[in-house]
Amino acid sequence: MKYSLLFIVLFCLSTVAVEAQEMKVSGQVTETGSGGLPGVNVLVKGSTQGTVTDIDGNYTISVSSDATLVFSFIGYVTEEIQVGSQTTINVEMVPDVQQLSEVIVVGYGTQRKVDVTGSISSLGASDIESKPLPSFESALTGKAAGVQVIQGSGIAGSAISVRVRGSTSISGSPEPLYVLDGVPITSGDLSRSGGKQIASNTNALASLNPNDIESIQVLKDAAAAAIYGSRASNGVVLITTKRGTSGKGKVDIGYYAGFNEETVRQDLLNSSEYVQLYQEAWENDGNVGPAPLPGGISREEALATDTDWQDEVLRKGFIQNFNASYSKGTDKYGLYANGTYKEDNSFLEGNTFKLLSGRVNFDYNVTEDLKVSIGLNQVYSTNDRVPVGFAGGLGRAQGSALPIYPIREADGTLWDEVPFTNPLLDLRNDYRTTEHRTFANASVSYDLGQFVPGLSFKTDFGIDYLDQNEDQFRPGQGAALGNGDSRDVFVKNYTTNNTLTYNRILNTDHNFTFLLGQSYNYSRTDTKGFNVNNLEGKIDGRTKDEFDPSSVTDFGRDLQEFSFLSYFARVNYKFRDKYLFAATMRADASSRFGENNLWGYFPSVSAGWIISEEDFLANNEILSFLKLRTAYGVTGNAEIGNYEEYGLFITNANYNNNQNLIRGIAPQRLDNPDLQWEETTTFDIGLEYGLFGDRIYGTLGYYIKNADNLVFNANVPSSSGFTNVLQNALEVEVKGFEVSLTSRNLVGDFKWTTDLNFTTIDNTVKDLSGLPPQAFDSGDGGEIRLFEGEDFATFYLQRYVGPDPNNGRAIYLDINGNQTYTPDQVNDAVRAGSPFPDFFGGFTNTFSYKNFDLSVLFNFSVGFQIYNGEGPQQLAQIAGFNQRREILDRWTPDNRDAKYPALSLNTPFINSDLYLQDGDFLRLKNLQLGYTLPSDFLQKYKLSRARVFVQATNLLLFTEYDQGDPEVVRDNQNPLDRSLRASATYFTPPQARTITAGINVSF
Amino acid sequence: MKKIVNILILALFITSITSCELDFQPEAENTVLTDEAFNSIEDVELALIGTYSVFRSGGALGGVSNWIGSLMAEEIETTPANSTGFDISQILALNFNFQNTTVRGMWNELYLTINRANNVILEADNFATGAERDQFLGEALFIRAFCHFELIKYFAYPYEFGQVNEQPGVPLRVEASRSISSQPRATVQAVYDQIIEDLIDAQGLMTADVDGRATAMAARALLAKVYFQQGDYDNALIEANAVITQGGYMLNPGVSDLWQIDHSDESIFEFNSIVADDAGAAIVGTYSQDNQDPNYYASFEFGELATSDPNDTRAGWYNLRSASSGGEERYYVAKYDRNNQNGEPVINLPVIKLSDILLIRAESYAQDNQLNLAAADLQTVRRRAFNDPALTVTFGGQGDLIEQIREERRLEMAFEFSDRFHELKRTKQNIQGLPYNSCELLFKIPNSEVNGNPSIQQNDC
Repeated sequence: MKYSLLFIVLFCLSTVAVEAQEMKVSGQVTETGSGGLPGVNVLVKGSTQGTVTDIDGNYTISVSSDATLVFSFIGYVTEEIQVGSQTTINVEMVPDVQQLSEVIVVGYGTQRKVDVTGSISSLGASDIESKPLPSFESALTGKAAGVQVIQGSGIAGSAISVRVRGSTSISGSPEPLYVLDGVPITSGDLSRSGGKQIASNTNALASLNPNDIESIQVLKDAAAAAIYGSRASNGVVLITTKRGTSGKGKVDIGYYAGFNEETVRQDLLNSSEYVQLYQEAWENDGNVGPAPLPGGISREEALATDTDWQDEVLRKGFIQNFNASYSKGTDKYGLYANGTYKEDNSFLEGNTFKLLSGRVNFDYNVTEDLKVSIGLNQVYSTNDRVPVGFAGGLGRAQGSALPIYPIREADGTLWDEVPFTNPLLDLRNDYRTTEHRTFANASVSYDLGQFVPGLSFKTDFGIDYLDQNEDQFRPGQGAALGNGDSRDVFVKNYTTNNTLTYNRILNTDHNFTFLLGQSYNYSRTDTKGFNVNNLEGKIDGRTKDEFDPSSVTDFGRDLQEFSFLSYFARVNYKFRDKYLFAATMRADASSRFGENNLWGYFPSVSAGWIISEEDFLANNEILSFLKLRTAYGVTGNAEIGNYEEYGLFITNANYNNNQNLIRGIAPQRLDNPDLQWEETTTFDIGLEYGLFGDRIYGTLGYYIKNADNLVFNANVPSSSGFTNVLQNALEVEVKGFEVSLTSRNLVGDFKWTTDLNFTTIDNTVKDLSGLPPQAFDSGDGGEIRLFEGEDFATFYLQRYVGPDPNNGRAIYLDINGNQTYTPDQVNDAVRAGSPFPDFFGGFTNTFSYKNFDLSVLFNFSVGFQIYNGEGPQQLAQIAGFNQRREILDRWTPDNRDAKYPALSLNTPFINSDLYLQDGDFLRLKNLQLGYTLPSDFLQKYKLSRARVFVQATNLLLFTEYDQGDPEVVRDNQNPLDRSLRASATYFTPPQARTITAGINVSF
Repeated sequence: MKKIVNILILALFITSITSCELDFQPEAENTVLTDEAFNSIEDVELALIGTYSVFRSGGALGGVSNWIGSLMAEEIETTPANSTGFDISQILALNFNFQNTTVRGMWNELYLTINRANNVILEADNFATGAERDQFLGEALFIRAFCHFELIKYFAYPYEFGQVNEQPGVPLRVEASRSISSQPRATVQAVYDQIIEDLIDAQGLMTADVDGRATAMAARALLAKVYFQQGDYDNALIEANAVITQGGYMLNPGVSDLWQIDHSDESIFEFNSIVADDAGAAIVGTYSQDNQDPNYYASFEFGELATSDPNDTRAGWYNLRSASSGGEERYYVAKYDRNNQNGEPVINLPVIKLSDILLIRAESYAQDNQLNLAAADLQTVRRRAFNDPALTVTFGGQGDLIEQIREERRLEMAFEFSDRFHELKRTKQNIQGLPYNSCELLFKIPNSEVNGNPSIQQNDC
């Protein structure tokens, strides 16, 4: 029946052809450097007669010999060819403007960028390769509108904070979902106590080799991301690895090496200044005579010693990266293989991250219709970690390690007297995190076009195994024996996706694509650990393998599992290449949701209008491209923890019953069968434009993100026997503009291109479910809170006025604005600024002249405050902490209008706005100067390409912030602190300034 | 077509091996799902054990309850370092705010105990009837009443005997929380009525006598203390008399024996302890002089008073010395000092003792003008204290006798569950110059309650 219908249609067409007495022309339309191009309009010039190329780019059309064929496709240069006597006309289409014809990865497929109705930021391999990135996601810094990336510190292998269009989550995770070649991968910090123990954390994403990455897409709005349903609210980062492409085998070898150092070093008091100020504080307290110095140090010893503790724990770091890859493709198969070794010895003494990565991607076309793809990536990394912040090391060197303390005793052993712990003792601790990581995926695609034209099926299966071992050895001190611990985390994470795609073009004007899919993701995190006591051990060397098994204590185990079962569908409809419509729907069920909300539904609708295709804009001199798009939809955030819906009893509520210790049971947590994902509704409108023949192009966008049902471990009346229950309780709204612009300022021999993007974030707390601000106390002194109607996260601090001119005592304001010496830390604090920027972005200038190229990236962040959490100690408590040199501007009888109050040995710890500063900054993030070797040189050595380059990161910083590096994220353990206290520091190490030189060679 | 079938089979295979499991339950150590916690009467007993576990913890009876009132009543002093802390400075200055973590811990742990007891009460009927079920139910009721009694004494205005007690008390929690629930403050009358009802029920239900657990007689003893605190001396007399005459308790020969001998003859209710799980640890850390200077010691004034009569063996409960780092001399509290053979402090924590009940009966008799009977009870206590079987009590009328009994109580009950503070309130005496019923003497309802229960009424002064 089907065939007979086809026959009739063919018969009719042939009849038409006969009547017109015309000839038949066929051919293939291809894309430069690629295969057939489907959907190209083939028109007889001056008529309405035409056709569209099929999925392989083939077409057949009946024309008269004097006709001219017009091949047009959006984003490509239109070709006109006179038919003459030709019966076969093959056309190679040349992209008009590269950025518009680009095919980008979207959820469960690819799409021409011009057809996309969602908001997506893209990065290509060239933005990622050869840069000394701590982890691939830092390549997004300053490059993607709407995406704020902050590497927390210069600690090697440490975490990076990524926020897509601001932060909304409070107790849930604010990080995006990372999807590698279709497989959601494990991200975040898996180290002991979430890194809290040594005040630094790890980054599971650092295992992914940036050299392997072909492209990164950040799905930002609902139209783009809702296909990922309950995991998409914080954005979805799609990572696509390189594959063998057509052409002869190609070898790429790259190496770079260089140095790094801290961007900012604190200016602290030297020994004689410290002694002088200590004496002054002593006398201010009403004492007379020489002050007894801390640690029992005599005045003479103190003055004879002048230890720069920062020097002792900082060093000139060394980094290097070697990678070699091979790629080759034929019409039968494609192969990409890469091996990379990376080493980052940071500026912190003892801190080294090393990574060894091997990847093979193999594609095999079994038949014309059947394609099998395999990707396999094995990574081994080690991370030698050192304590920082409150945990010691640099934090101690800048804090409680006074310049009057000697480093060593006369006999060479480390000096260590109460109340002091020598920062070098912290560094003797041997803390190594080792990770084995396997990313693997296999997919089978089957083109079912022979059965149903336009139909294809794809199934893939991917795993992400992460095996992380943490061994820690703490040598004994004096007579005390050492101890250690060992912890192993094994994360088994797998995903399967099954999709059916159907593409249909009706009457040349109507282009439909349907996607129907199913997906299942399972993850299991199994953690085991134990402690070892009484280790003899040496100070150096790793002796923990030699422990006595009988000294093992505290076995612990934790098992976490979660899963998602999903069904999804998408329809794209395009009318005459001008009008675009898309709708998506996803249904997610997860083990994390309560039984009353097991399934969540996440729809989106979007539309686009390519205005420049309309007649009234055709051949417009100024506007070469204009597209309006808008989208509305719902996404979720399921990073709300595992098992939280279950009520629990503990089984170790012990009591000694009649001389037997009995393990009693007791309620610990309430059931919450209503627990669900956080739900974000996004509205998005954008204008994509090209001007002056696309010399200038970019996007203007506006978005409103309303995040509701945000989880919070909210107080419940504690008279119920419970203090907190995780509830979907809060609402936050973010809105703002996203602007990106590329301007090709100069073309020709001397090329100059400017890329600019910026994002505004207007973040408002809409609903706190009646919870008072103090329910959101975060920080040591509750210095961050949430207030309904205010910015998302507000500093909450005492107001410092200055020293009393008469006596030097610090004056604060109480809640009524009256001056007081003794503010109430709870009742007199007021709102004071926000840790999140109003405005951030970056701009890149790229120059090239002949064989030279230069790329300069600046990033900036404006409209946020940083709370210098070490201030109440480092700028006040001279009794126990070395002071920053600016404390010299303290009140004395001769300096009555000083910034800081008179010194005392009993200064209380007060969180005040004295330590709050604007964090606005502009930073030269990356500079790269390259020279491509001339071709005659290359030919001599049979090379296809060779380039040498020098590069610098964090070279320059422009800021008023004078307390450290303003690009900072404090490593906090609990989710509430992580979400709200991004810029409240505590001896947080600064970023690294890195200078490298390298070479890339291809042959 | 065969190929497509093969592909689909492959796809189905891949999908099926994943099995799409969606229900994972936590397998963490030391936890069990609420739905799976109770399977038999044994589990109900385990829930009761879990109730004792927190009942005797440092935030509840095993710690804060013991000293916090005494601190306010100036029976205890604390070290200068401790006294400047956020919490303790407020307690010393009677200037509370609702973020006081010590007060919050006390509130939370007492209500935690109540909820655990309510779980026992809820589940007991599901698994058994008869004596076993009755015993567990009775113990849980006893614990619930005890906690409500502690709470009402600190967070609400005193009970005024013979008046309508409509003043706000504390939330009454008589049902196990299985979902989020709020309760306003019940009236002081309602709370006392519930306490009394629970104790009467408890007394009728309990038949067993296991060391470290509540008994019917312990319920009567507590009931005597409740009536006594209310000023209901008639009922206090009935209950105290029952305990003394029917309980089979005897005063220990020595005044310190109670803390040296587990479950001595005088002990009516006592928390168990072993080294691994030291019920008395919080108290030991509070007063113990074993290794270091404790946080709390007797106020100098009280120390002088308590040691003024060298014939009173209770003077041995105090130890006048300087702190180990030097400085002025202080009276350290030696009552709880006890060492096991390994040198680690281990004490059971006696909670209700016979001499307490004797002094309750003594004053109740005196209030009823049965002065000779009152004097006899006072004499019993005093003879033991002075180690003098011939000692006699003389008095000059009802008022004088009551005064003597109260003074005796002050010495006998010092440093035990803040008895001095509750006595000052019962006897309507000033505390730090403030009238007994001052709002300033009430703890603030802590933020852990207020933040989740906006309708609760605060003690605003």
